[in-house]
Amino acid sequence: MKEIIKHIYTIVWNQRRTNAWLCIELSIITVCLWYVVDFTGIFWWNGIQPMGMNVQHTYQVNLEEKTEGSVGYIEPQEKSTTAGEDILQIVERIRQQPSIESVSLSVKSQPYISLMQGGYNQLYYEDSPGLWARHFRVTPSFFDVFQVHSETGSIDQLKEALTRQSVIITPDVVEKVIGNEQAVGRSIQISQEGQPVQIGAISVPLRPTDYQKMFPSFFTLLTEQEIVNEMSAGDLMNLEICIRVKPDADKDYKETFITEMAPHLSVGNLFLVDIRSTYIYRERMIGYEKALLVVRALLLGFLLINIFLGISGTFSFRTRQRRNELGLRIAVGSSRRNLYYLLMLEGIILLSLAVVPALFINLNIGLTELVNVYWVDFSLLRYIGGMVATYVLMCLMIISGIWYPAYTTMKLEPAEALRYE
Amino acid sequence: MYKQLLKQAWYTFLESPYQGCITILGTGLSVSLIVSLLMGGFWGKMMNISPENHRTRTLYVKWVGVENKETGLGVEDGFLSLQTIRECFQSLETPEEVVVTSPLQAQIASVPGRKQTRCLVSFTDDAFWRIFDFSFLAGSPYDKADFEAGMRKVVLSEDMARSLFGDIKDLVGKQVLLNYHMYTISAIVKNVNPYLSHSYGEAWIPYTSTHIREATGTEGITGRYKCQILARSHWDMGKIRREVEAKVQQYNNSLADHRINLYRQPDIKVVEEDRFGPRYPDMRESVISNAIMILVILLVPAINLSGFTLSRMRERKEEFGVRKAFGGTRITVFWQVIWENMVYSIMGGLLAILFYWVTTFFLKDMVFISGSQWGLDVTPEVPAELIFNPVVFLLAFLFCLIINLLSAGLPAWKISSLTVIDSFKAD
Repeated sequence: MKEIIKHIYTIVWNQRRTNAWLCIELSIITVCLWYVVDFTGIFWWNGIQPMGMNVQHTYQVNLEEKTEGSVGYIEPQEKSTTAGEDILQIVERIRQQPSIESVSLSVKSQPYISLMQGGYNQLYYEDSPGLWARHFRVTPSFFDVFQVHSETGSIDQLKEALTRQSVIITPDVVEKVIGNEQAVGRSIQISQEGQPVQIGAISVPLRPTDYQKMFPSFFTLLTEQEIVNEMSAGDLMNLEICIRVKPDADKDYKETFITEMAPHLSVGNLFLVDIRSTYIYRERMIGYEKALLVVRALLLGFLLINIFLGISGTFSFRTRQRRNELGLRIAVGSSRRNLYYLLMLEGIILLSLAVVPALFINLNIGLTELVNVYWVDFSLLRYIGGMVATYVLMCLMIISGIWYPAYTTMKLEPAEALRYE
Repeated sequence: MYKQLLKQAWYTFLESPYQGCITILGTGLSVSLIVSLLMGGFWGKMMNISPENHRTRTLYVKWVGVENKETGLGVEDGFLSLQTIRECFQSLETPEEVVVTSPLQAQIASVPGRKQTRCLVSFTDDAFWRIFDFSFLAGSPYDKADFEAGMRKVVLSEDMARSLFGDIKDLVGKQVLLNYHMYTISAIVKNVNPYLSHSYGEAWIPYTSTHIREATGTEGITGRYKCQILARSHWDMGKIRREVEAKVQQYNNSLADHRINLYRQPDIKVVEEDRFGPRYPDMRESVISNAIMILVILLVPAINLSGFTLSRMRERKEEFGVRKAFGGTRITVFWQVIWENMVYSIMGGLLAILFYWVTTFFLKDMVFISGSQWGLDVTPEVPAELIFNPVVFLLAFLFCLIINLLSAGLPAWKISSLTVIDSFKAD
């Protein structure tokens, strides 16, 4: 094996003038391909990282209020309950349905959709400057519905820790505001005018969407009292009712819910008008990124095919020109299989030589942050991973590009090949 | 002549089927990418698609910004109020029609004694039925008198009628509850593709018949409505814009402390599609980046394929030598190479159209979803107008021609400039 490589190396060196051009071409292609592979790979990698919430089998329930003149409308003077109390009763009725795992109420907190409305607030600790963070106002069952875990992996811990006087924060808040000290039990202040509240627990880090970096966030309790007092029918849009459905019941759930369950769930003037899977909002929020990913993947495919075309063209030209040399080899006893290996190995050695300058160029592109560092920082792992993937892709392309020209040459009779001599 | 050409191309193909296939595949891929890009991103956004048969001469307004007159600072952005539409657009004289609609809402539709269902309701005026060509299966829509009186009349889509009543026979005049308000069915229409965000709905009712909660914005400028202005012809659009400017000026004078900013609206369709928020979308950048993309998609395979063509033609240089020896000129040889390659390009073009159809269906959720349907549970369909469109064939042919000239031009020139003697010399 060692001899073969040495032999091929000599061949490559003897034809260094034509090979130099080929090497430069391969180097440039490697740099370009690496850039696209890096971009697409990071995008994909980022998308499969956990978001901190699980939205599978979750839905949002929309309420609407009957207006004057509609069938079953109750005049205000005949009504004894407030809209807030009606909402709580509807939530209680939903909770009792056998297909429901849990129900939560929240304000500007639902995954994805709340990004558009934006519940943000500043957090102060001792005399640190304020830190902008996402504010989740939720009932404790929110952690059940969206499966938000504490740092130690427990949902119940978060549910118990969320009280009127406490707040739950994410690890990046701890890191940015409190530092290395023990955070639970310390008090923190929400907004400049707010009262200090105690940190009850720390949740897993949260990301706004599947493609964004984690963002500092905190949870406060939305009490039933607040719902009863603050909510009027005009605010129905602001209140989110989210449900988690038992997995085995989650088939055509939208239709079942609206046609069979919804008619029995209305209270007072409120009725259920729609139920939407969180996936609908997810698709829309990450639609741009997903489309970008598809475009990048298409571009990568297009580039790969074209590199394949280029390499295949170059090598078929090369092999054809060297037909007499190969014929000679067959004539002096080289087996066809060996010839085949020879051509392949030669291609791969050429590539490996070409990769050396590309390694250096890519490292510099990465270090000067010309690659995308918005999602993932440029690290050694990313660099090595990207280069390995690029190298493997290039190898595959060279092998498939050489295969056919080599195959046709191998079929030649030595005499015919030598005829050109 | 053509027969011979085809014969020749076929024998060349048989001689090196591998290279031929790659040439066809390379051309097909890049042409299909370009066609998808142009159709999905550009032409599909401005062409007429039934029932929106006048998109090319319609102007769209949906956002308004409110600014403080003294400080010039923005106060809020929102959809239009009826008052703003009345003052700035409905009073225009040049347009053929001005249509006012309110965005889709989910409502509960029910018929006593049957299962209820969720229904996406569109709120329109009577002019709506004049600018869109819906196909009516039964009945006729609400007219101006119905609209002004706020009559509770509804037009249902075929599917909605079916899911409410089971079939669509004799439904006109029957009653249906929308959010528990009693409506009389006035017509049944064929389903509309959700991609057509301005006409789409499962039910249409006069917005005067229901209570649409108006946003209580500054001086009643913002609200929950948008409007479409249908020009008599494409050439009237400039005139309409100038008229709108004058009306806005008048409207601003009548407001006490604020003035409005339309952010360069009214929009033509292609701008309207790209305007997700209130601000003017960066059309220039999107045109430039698309142009660069197309250039790359054209050039990269052309360079690669020209290598192929050259090596293929080199092998046949003796043949061209014979041609020249018997009186063929340089030009004949040049065109022979180009024409032969054209056969490959056209086969690539046919493949490209096939690819285009496949990718369009594959990516329909991304391409054919409209920003104005945020958070609605709708699945768009691929409009037939985008599939069997002469423009698709025209574009595919045009770009095949360009790729052909790019990839075969240089090799053809090189081969045709060889002298007869050189042609017969061995390598």
